[in-house]
Amino acid sequence: MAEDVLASLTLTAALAATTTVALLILAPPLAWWLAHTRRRGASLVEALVALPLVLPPTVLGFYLLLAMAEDAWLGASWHSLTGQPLAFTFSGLVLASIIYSLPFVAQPLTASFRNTPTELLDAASVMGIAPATRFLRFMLPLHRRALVAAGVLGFAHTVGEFGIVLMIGGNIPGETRVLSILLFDQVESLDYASAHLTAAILLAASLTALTLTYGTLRRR
Amino acid sequence: MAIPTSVAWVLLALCCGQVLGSVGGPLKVAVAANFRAAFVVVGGEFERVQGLELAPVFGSSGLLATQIRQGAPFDAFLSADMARPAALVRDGLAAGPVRIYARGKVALWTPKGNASPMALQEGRIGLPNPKLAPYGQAAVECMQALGIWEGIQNRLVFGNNVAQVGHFLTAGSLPAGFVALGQLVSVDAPAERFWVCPANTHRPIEQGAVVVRRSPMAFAAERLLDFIAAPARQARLAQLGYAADG
Repeated sequence: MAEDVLASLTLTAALAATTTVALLILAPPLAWWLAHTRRRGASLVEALVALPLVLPPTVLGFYLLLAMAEDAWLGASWHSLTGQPLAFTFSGLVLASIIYSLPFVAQPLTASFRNTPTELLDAASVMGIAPATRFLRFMLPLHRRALVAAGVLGFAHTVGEFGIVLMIGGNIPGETRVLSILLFDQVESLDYASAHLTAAILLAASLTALTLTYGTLRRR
Repeated sequence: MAIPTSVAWVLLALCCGQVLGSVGGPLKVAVAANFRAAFVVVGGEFERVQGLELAPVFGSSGLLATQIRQGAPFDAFLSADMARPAALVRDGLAAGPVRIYARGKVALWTPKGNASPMALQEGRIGLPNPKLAPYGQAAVECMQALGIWEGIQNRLVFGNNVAQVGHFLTAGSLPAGFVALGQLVSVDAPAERFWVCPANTHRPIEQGAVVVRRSPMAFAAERLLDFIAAPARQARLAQLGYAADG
């Protein structure tokens, strides 16, 4: 019982960490573009990014499952690229989580980027400070709080993912059986003792993550 | 005067609706996912013959049993196993004894290939979670009896119940998987696409039904279970992928 929980805990942490790192690389350029573009299509892109907030996870899960089938476009191109299937694998879950958690990372960043004091950056640029230095010395410190919030929200939301994983995961131990799925299993098999343990871990971990974040944001 | 009168009418209508809803309303039946297609046929007959409407809810037996424990307003429960309804009877939530309404058959389904357990040399295989689904447990016993369990153990993809494995196969996400024969009859799968586990390779899949104790329509629910147990319906179930009553 405890081994089950430990395996799922490790897997969940790995999934959330991979997703968060990927999102912290992908989301900032997108958020910067959304914050500063004046293009006509920008609202459509912004709506697409926010879509997972309002769509039932079953909608995403349904489309992803069909797209990841081995003869469908996504599954087939992934297979020819890596030689691995995408459906019912860890990689498939990472891809789904990136889509699902994107708004939680992109939105705080977009809001923060909209408040960038551009005069400061312009001044730095006029003074001949290199772009890389401008990024490290000005952008990162300016938006540190938003980056922390985005990272924690992305991580926590991936840990809390359930509907999509249920639809595309296949409940494979060590590969796709994350904590939320394990809990569902335990409840269905009426194993309430184990279910209590799993649920308590999820509750405590989420509460701790959020408290630490709000603490960090409050202090400075 | 006009307003109080209309209020009284509304109240009267509400009361009648309440009474009719609890007595004459549809019979709410929790049905194991594997029995969906068969229940549509047999339940449809029941509605015609008895003039009573049915409102079935399909799901995995474990989830349905949990919902009944939490007070879900079901009148009858048609499980995929005997253990879950028996536990409800033991805890005073359902009226015993548990009646066997169907005996299941488990089949290997390959929607695009030729079905044979020897074709499972490679690729991933869908299996209803054996911890939760009696069909999954039977499939494991069948593969153990054939001596191929060791070779495929690490290529399994678990579905929550037979319905989810059937959905993975239909969507093209998996090449092969174990489902209930009752599901295949309903999708008209050609004979070379599936292979039925011989009955002597696994323990029988006995599916039990009970009437939920707090049901306000226990009498009607009992009539439904009688109806399904009748020889004519059991003969019909034999054509729908279930073993003949034995």
